[in-house]
Amino acid sequence: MQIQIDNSSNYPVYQQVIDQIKRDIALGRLRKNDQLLTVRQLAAELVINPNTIAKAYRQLEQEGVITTKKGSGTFIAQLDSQLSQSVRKKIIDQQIERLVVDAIHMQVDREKLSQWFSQSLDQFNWEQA
Amino acid sequence: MSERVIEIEHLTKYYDGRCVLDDLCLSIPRGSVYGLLGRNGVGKTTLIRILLGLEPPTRGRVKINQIEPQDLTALDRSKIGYVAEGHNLIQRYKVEKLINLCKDIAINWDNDIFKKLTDLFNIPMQRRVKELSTGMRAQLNLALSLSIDPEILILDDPSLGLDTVVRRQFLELAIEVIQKEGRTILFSSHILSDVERIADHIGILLGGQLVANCTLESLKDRVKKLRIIFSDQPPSTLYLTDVINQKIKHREMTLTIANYNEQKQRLIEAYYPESIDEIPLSLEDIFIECTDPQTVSLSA
Amino acid sequence: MWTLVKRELSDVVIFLITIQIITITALAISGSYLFEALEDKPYGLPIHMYSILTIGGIILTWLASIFGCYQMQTDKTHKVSTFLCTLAATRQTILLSRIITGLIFTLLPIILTAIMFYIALQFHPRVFDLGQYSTILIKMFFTLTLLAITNYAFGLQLGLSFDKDQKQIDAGKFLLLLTAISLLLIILVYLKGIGLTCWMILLLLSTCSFWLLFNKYTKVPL
Repeated sequence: MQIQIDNSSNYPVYQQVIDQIKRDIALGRLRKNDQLLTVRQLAAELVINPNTIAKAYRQLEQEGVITTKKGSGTFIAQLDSQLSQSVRKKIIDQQIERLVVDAIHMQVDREKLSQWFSQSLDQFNWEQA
Repeated sequence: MSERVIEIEHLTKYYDGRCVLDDLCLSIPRGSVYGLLGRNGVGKTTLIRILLGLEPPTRGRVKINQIEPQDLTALDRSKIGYVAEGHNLIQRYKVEKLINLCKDIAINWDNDIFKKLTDLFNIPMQRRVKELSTGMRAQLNLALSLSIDPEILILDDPSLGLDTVVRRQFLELAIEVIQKEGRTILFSSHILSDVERIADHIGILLGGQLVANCTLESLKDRVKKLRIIFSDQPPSTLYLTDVINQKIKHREMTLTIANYNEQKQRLIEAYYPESIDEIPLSLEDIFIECTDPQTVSLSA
Repeated sequence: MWTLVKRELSDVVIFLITIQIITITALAISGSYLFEALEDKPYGLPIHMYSILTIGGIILTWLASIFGCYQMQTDKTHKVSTFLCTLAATRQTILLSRIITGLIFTLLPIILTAIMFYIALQFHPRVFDLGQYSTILIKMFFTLTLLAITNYAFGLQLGLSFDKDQKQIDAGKFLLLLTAISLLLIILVYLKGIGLTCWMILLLLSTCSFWLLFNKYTKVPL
C-alpha cells in the first residue's frame, strides 16, 4: 500500500488518503480482503497526525469500502455502494460535465475525447463494479 | 482527565510599555497537536514562557492541566516536557553531568527511551553543552524531555537550525508521542510544512492577537484564493466581507477571502466575471496572507 | 531535594573552598591572639576574646554576603533556575536547596573553628579552666553564626535584585554596598553587646530577609 500525501495541497489530507485507497482499489492494486496498515502504522509511515488517518478510515468504513475486524485488523470490503442508482448517476454526471467542459475549452474534439476516455477505462479493474 | 489541557483566558502581557499579547483566549484539547504560528518576535515564546510559569502575565490567567503555573508541584511539572532548541539547558555543564542531573530529579524516567534516543542521535557525553552544535543541543533537549514520558510536550521552535534528517526525526518522534493515550503537543514553528503534517489545530499570532484559532482543516476550508477574470476593468471593490487580500492587475483580480460560501460566490457572480478560478492554498500561503497587517480574524 | 543541593554544591565548590581557607585562617589568627592573651593575661580576657569577632568575624560575615550575592548572580548568568524549574522541581525547592548549600558553607568555618578551639583548649592545661569564659565563648560563636546567616540572607536578597543589565549601579559600588551592610551589622553587635537583644534583632532581620526572598523568588521572571 503506497500512499503519497501532498501536504501543501488545499485538498484535506484525510480526503487524499480516502481517494488514494479508493483509487488503488479501482486500479486493482488493492483487492477484497487485502489487509490495510493500521492507523498507527500508517501515521508513523507517512509522518502524519494519526487523527487524520483515523478520520479517513472512519469515512471509508462508513461508505462500506473497508471493514475492521476486532483483533484482526482492517480489510478491504466488498464494494457495495449504499447510494441509489439515481444519486450515483447524478454524481457521475457532474464529473462527466466538468470533464467535457474542460475538453471543449482546450479544443479537444468529441472523437478524440472518446478515444482517450476508452483508453483510461482500460486501465482500471472493472470486476468490482 | 479533563478535556482541555491548556487554557488561556484573556491573557495580556506588556513589556516595557509595549503590548506583546493582547487579551488572548485559547484552549487546547487533550490529544491534539496544536501548531502556534507567527512571525519572529510576535510573542510565541512569551506565551509559552508564561504557560510554564517562567514569566508572570500582566493580566489574565493561564492553566496547564487545570493548574495555574505558579501552583504546579514537582509531580505536575514531571508531566510537562519542554524543548526550546536547547537554549534552556545549562550551557556550562558537561553533557553527562546534565543528563545525570535530569535523571536524578526526574520522577518517572524511562532509561530505555533515553538510551534509544541518545544512540540514535549520537550525542557526545564528554563535551560541554555550549560546545555542541545547535542541532545536537536540540536533540539532547528533545531526548531529555521525551525520557520523562510527558503528558504534555511543549516545543518552542524545535526545528530551527536543524538539518532535514533531524527535522524528520523530530516529527517522527512527535507522532510517536501523540499515538499514546492522552498526550498533547503544543509547538510553535516556522517550518510550516512540518506543522501542516502533524498539527490538527492551528493558531496564528499577529499583533498580539490570534487572527486564526481553529482546526487545520477548517482553516484550509475557510480561506480561499480566487482568480477572477473580468472582460473589462475590474471594479475596485466587490463589497464582500472578510477579504484578507486583494490585488488587481489588468483584467484580473486576485482575491484572498475568508469564510467563503455560496452567498459570497453569488455576490461575485453578480459582477458577471469571465471566470472564477480557485487557487489552492497551502498552510504557508494562508499564513503569509493572514500575517499581512490588514488581516481579518478567523476564530473558530 | 538532595539532588538539587548536590548540584548547587558542585557548582559553587571552588568559590567555597576559597572562603573556607580565608575564613578559617582568619579565625585561627584571631584565635591565636586569644591564646596569647590567655598565656599572659595582660589585658584581661574579654578584649581579646572579641578579637575573634573583630578579625575573623568581619571577614566571615563579609564573605557570607558576597557568597549569597554570588549564588544569585551566577544563577542569573547561567540561567540555572530557568532550566531547573522546567524539570520536576518547584521554585521553592530550588531556592531552599540554594540556601541549604549557603548555610552549610557559611557555618562550616565557624563549626570547624569551634572544634579547633575546643581541641586546642584540651591540650592547654593552664587555661583548661576556662569555665567562667566558656559561656562567653559559646555566646560569641552563636552571635557570629547569626551574623553570618543574616549577612548571607542580605547577600542573597541583593544578588537577586541586582541587575547588571539595567546598570542602576555598577559592580564596584555594589561590592561597597555589601561591605557597608556587613559593617553596619557588626557595629550593631558591638553596640548591643552579645546578648539576647542582639540575637533577637539578628534573628528578626534574617527571618524577614528570607521570607521576602521566598516571596520575590517565586514571582520573578526567570
